[in-house]
Amino acid sequence: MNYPFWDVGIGYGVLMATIAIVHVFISHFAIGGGLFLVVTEIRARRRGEPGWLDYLERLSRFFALTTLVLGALTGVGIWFIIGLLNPEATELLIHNFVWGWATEWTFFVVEITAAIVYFYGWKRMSAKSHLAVGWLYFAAAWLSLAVINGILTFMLTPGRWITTGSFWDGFFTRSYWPSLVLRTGICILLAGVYALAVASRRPRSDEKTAIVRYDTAWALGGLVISVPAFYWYFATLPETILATARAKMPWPMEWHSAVLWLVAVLALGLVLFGFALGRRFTLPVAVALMVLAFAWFGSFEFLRESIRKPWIVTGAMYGNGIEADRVPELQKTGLLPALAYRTGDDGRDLFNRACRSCHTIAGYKAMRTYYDGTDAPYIAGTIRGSLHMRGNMPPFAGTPAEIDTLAAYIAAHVDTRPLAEVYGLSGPELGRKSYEVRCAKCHVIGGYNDKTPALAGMGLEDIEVLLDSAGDLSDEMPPFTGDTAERDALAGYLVSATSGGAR
Amino acid sequence: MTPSYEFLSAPVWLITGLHVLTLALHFLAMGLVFGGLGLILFARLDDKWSRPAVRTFLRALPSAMAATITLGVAPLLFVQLVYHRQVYAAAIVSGWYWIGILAAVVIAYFVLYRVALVPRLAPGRVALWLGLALAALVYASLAYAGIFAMAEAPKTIQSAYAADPSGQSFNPDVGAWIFRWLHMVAGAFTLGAFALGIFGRRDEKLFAYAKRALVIAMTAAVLAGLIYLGSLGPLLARFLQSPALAFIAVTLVLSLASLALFFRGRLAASGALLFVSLLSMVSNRQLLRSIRLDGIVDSSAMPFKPQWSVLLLFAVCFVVALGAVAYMLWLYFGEAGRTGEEAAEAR
Repeated sequence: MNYPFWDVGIGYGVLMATIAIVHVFISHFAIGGGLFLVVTEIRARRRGEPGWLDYLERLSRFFALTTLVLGALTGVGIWFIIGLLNPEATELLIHNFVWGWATEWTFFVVEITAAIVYFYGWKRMSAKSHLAVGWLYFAAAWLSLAVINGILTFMLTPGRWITTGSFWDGFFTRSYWPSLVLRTGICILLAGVYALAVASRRPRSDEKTAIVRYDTAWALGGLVISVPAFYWYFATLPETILATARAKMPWPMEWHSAVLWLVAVLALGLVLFGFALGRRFTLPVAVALMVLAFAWFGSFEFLRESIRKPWIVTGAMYGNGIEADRVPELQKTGLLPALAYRTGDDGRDLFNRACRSCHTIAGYKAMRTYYDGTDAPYIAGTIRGSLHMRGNMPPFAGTPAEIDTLAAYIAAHVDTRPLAEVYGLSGPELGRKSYEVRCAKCHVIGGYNDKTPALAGMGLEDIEVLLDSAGDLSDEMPPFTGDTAERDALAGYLVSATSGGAR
Repeated sequence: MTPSYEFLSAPVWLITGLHVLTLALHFLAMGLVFGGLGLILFARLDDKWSRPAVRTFLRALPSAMAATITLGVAPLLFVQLVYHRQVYAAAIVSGWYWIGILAAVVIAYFVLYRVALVPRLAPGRVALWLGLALAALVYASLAYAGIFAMAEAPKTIQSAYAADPSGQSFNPDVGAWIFRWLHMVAGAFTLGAFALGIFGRRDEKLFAYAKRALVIAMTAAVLAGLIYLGSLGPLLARFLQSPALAFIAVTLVLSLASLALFFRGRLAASGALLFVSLLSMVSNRQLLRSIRLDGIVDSSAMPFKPQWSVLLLFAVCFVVALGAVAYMLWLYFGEAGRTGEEAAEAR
């Protein structure tokens, strides 16, 4: 609230992901790659295999270019983008962890220097010195992971920091070690699949077969470490976080169950193409395995980010940068007076501050998808009850008058024609759509906060009466504001649902 | 109640000192890349791109670029501890320009690697590629100058945001950043000329060019600095009453001494003086920021909640890192000096 809001048409999640996804893949590869290079160099020198040394030199070129250019720049890019997208959260993290970050920077300085010296030193340094630099590279890179891992795990599980505010309480939380082991495994896995991509371009030979098998063993080793660590990590997460995620974020949690299948396919692919068909290992196969490895790693990152909602730092700050402690005060005094920067359009300011960290009007997680076919009074009702919504929404940190202003702003940017007209529906299909738009944000038939059992035995007319008085049921229940045709269709759908027809 | 994050975890003098030191190091690496690139591009030398000294210089540019980026992280980190509200606010108002810096640096980095690693690029192509890299770096420097100048002018941020919150506002107060930018560019060319002198110390023509460039760039830096001071208006009197005058005097004297030593070929001593004068100039820059934001940012009012144990960890890691970097460079340059046979034997 002390900062202006970057009112850009692209979803914040998309902007963040664009840079962060590239960075996390490259940075993990950079760490695993460092270990791969130095261990494999030792092996090749001991066995006197010049072909392997040539392969490693090529790999280190690819490695240096990728990590130094894209890795370093996307790392800086994350700094740039988080300051734009969530300056409050950045401020919280910087002030608490600045010396952690500064320490990480010292490792980064060593890492970058070592990467350059290692790359240029192949033909200019003795084996012993070259290997020493390689080990320095890996040590510095892994230590930088050990630091940043503490800050990342803090965001989901801040542990005792919530009460003590101590650096170490926030850094070494219960998810720190499993996350570090998991990420270390991922580093080794990614190093293996990247190495496979470089090896795939070598001409068919016994040496290629040996290299492909060796790289495959690395990738499988990474899987062996990371898969159990993944479950260890989830076992350390507080049950409150997981229970809320299961109830309100079913999709990511269902994906969690599917991850094992993804791992199985990756492992099978590695064994089949890496071990059995090593001589014929081609670039498309390498790319396919790399995509699977990314998907496995991405699943973890996606889950971690998803289940943290609606927080940016669990229990302390919401994703929209509003501190949890300030919400009661802001609900009395108002969000607008607390904003240091205003545009002159109150509705826009409220939408930006309260909603835009996750939603846009027409693009990413669009308001139009949620509210087309409704109106301001209905929207205001949903904002009042935002805590009950699926998707883990934060409470609205403003006054009732600000809720109306925000609702009017959203209504002015969505299609407020009757639902039937907006979607060209009628009859049961209209009823289903009406339920999806007006009810399913908080009530899932057969799932989260299902209220249809309470409607059992009620007739069409009873339900229509109930819909007419929906806004009076509680402060957090929006009124039904659709036209008669929509009301009849929704009532019909609910009658069908209570008799089991809508599941 | 969750813990407040509005606190300082180390004394302000330490944060400021680390900011000044790391920013000076960043400028040093940046000057080598930006100034050196600009100077070599416009140098008139026979067979310019084939000269061994120039080839060596071009091969060093990607590493210098990596150093520029790495050394740029720390000052950005430390400045956020005290001036977070100003820096983020200015960056948000100019969001697209801020993000554009990344794109510009990616382009410059890619080009420098291409020129360094592709052995036989036609001379015309080398100039073309390096021109592209220079253009990208000019953009990055302009964006930085505009945004950091705006960070010292909260009213400008307010009005720019009210006019356009989409991140497309570039600092409208041209006078506030143009001379600051020119001063920075002239300073970069001074450092670039010094770097060219180092690389060209055994190439008579290149060294002569570096000497001429150093004189011109240093003169331009002094002039741009004086004009910048003149543009401060009412702030100038306060600025001159602070230790700034002493810093200016130190910068001028050390710069001239560095120039004299450079002309005598005593490059190590010249470089040391040039770096101290750079430190002095960066200190002045920090002083000016604190004067501009006097009454808006009061670091003494921020609660002090020291994190001594982590600070100590950082200090130890910092020293170890410097040692590790020195060790690796010693290994590399020590062994690179051997004959080819010795190196081959060692392998």
